[in-house]
Amino acid sequence: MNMLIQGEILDFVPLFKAYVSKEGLLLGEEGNTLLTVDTGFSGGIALPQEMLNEMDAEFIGYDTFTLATGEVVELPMFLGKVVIKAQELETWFIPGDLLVGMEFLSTAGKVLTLNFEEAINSSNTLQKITSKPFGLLLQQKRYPTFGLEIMETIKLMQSRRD
Amino acid sequence: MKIPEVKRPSEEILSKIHALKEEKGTIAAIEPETGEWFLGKNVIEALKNARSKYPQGTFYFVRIGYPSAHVHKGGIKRHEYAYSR
Repeated sequence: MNMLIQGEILDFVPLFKAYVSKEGLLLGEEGNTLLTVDTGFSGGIALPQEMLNEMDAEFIGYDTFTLATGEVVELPMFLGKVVIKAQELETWFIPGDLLVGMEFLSTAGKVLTLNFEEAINSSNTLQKITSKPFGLLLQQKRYPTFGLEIMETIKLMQSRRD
Repeated sequence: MKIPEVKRPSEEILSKIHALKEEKGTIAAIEPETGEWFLGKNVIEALKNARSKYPQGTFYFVRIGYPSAHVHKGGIKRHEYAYSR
């Protein structure tokens, strides 16, 4: 069964709630930390270094990034766990602002929606969203204002542990 | 927490990796001491492949055929952890 985590769009910024524990980053609809979904960030997740320390993220090396200025920089990378709806998966982090990047979204999710009509789907599913991996829904109703449909539990868990 | 340094691969190694035209877009995890690389469709897959040989290893990640492995264009603030190349 597909599931959905739902965020909110605040002042034109799409946000998921989260909190950090020893188990990792619990991402979803609760928590006192707001993570911006950043489609301009093609990586995993960016968190302040203190949070990475708190969740015992493991240093795995360096990655290279092209910034908006065109500058190419190297950033340290960390391996850690994200928990979504009781599902656990490994992803990589960089120290920095609170951002969720496209590589993580495409690994954990199937469909990302931004619906500015603010219509909430009470069934918590995105049954009518089909083909395009990313898109802006126009004049549709009954979809959440902002959400990520998550892949099926079993497949997600298995692919991480193979 | 002090973040460890990882030796940057030589230009020779980087040239060899970027010459793999058929692998363009693939992530390569480079073991810094030996220069050996391991491919994956994303960072986690490349890491998993690299750690099958170097279980505790740390690596330098590149995307074959591109100047960087990722883009971080959400802001223009210079990152305090960023090293200029």
